Amino acid sequence: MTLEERLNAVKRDNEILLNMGPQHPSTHGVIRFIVRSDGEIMVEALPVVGYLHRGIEKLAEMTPYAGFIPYTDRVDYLAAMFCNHAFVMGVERLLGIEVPRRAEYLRVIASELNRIASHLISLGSMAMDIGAFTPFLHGIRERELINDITEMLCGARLTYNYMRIGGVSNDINDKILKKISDFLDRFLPGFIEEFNRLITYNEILVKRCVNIGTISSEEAINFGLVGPNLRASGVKWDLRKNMPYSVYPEFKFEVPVGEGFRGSVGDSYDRFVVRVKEMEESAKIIRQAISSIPDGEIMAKVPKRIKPPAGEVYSAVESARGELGYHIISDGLENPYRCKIRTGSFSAMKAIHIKSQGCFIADLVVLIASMDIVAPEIDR
Amino acid sequence: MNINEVHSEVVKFFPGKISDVITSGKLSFFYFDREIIYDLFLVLRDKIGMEFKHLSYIASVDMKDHFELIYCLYSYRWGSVIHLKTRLNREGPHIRTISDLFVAAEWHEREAYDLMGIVFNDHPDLRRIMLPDDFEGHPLRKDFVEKDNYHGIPTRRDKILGRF
Repeated sequence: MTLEERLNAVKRDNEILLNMGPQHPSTHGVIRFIVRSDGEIMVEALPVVGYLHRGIEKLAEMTPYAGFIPYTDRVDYLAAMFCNHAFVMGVERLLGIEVPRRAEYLRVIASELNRIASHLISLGSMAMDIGAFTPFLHGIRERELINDITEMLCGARLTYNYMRIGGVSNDINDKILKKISDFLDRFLPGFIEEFNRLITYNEILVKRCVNIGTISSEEAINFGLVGPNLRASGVKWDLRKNMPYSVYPEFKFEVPVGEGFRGSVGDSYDRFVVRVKEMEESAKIIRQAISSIPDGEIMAKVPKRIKPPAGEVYSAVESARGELGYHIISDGLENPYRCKIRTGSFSAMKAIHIKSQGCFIADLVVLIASMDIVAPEIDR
Repeated sequence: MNINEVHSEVVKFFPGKISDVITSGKLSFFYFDREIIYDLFLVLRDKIGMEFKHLSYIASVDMKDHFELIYCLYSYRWGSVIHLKTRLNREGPHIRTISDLFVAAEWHEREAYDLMGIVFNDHPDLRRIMLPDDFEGHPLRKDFVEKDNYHGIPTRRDKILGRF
């Protein structure tokens, strides 16, 4: 069945078809929606994805393990650190490598900085989609500082390729630590308060988001939502807490969940607020990490040619968009036999399709933005 | 609730249709017969004490002489994750859909259909998802050979940079 046949099969006479995307400012990447609407009310918004399909899973089968790390950056360009982390963690488990503690701390610091950067873009662009331009610029301004830090740390601002199998590529120094702590002093509570006053408590944003795309906790679990989208529906599940990896058990932090801050639990506003709260928690984790970072090596002893023994592993991390996992199957050779990537945006797209039914056309933009979709993560 | 406990529970329901727990590398899983997929997942989802209500992903693997599907399920109630596998024939692989049990399965099954060519019976909307509708072949199969051109656009770039 093709897309055209699918549309013709269900279309009724009084309905109109409206195309949104693939080049549209508020689809957050190259995603296309075909909106079938009866007047202002949508019957469904059918997502058409695949415009950014690069076949990363096929590329994995053609690339040696260490050579695949730069490709993982491209799975999610806004939160590349997590994609690195999940992959190298999987290979390390297959090989049975113990990562030095200093390297684990550096991974946590880099990941949490990346989470803040990703959420800033997400929140800023959501506000921009609704019509407020200033919060986006404030978000981008803070993100620039994080980009400067990661540039000092690993030489790249967006696609980091920072983590290695067995450790990380570069060590941290006092100058970078100073820069991070300066950033945190400015960020928490100063920036968060400013941002909240500017947009989170803004009555126009609240009115646009409250009770839009409400997802109950049962639905969220059944839809396969992960990360902030799942937690906004009231499910307290965070891989950092529930299935601890790396050195996360050593840090104290809360897992914010949606409580129906202004409307019902699991609406678009809850997803917005949960992300703001998550940024605060990330900042707390980084503060603890930079104050207690141990000395030592940043790379474990790793064989020159990485050939994991035949076997399978599933390694997942809590990315900015929820669970990001690699299912790696090794057959004992230099390349992975199969590498399946599980991403958060992929399941969120299906949720958008279902939740768009019976919603106003104008609210579709809010729904898409609140789910924090990143196109390359869907298509891979 | 780990994989061994789940296994000892479900093996009572489906004697002879479920293999022993196998550990390969760092992953433990068991195989199930593809005929019982709907009943098995219904038990796993709804039986009190299991409640694996979250389907994380479906991975399709080409094992050269047959295909394998890997299902990953989470139980938030018990904080556990399990992996299940099933084998499909090389010729005309097909299995019943579970998208009526898990909404999340719908797109994962479309992905497996698109990239690996596995047909899911009774699926509500089985179309290609990543690749264009007129694409020929299923790229994640090990015997897939890329066509020389696609709609007149050459796909081979071997000699473009000359000496490289």
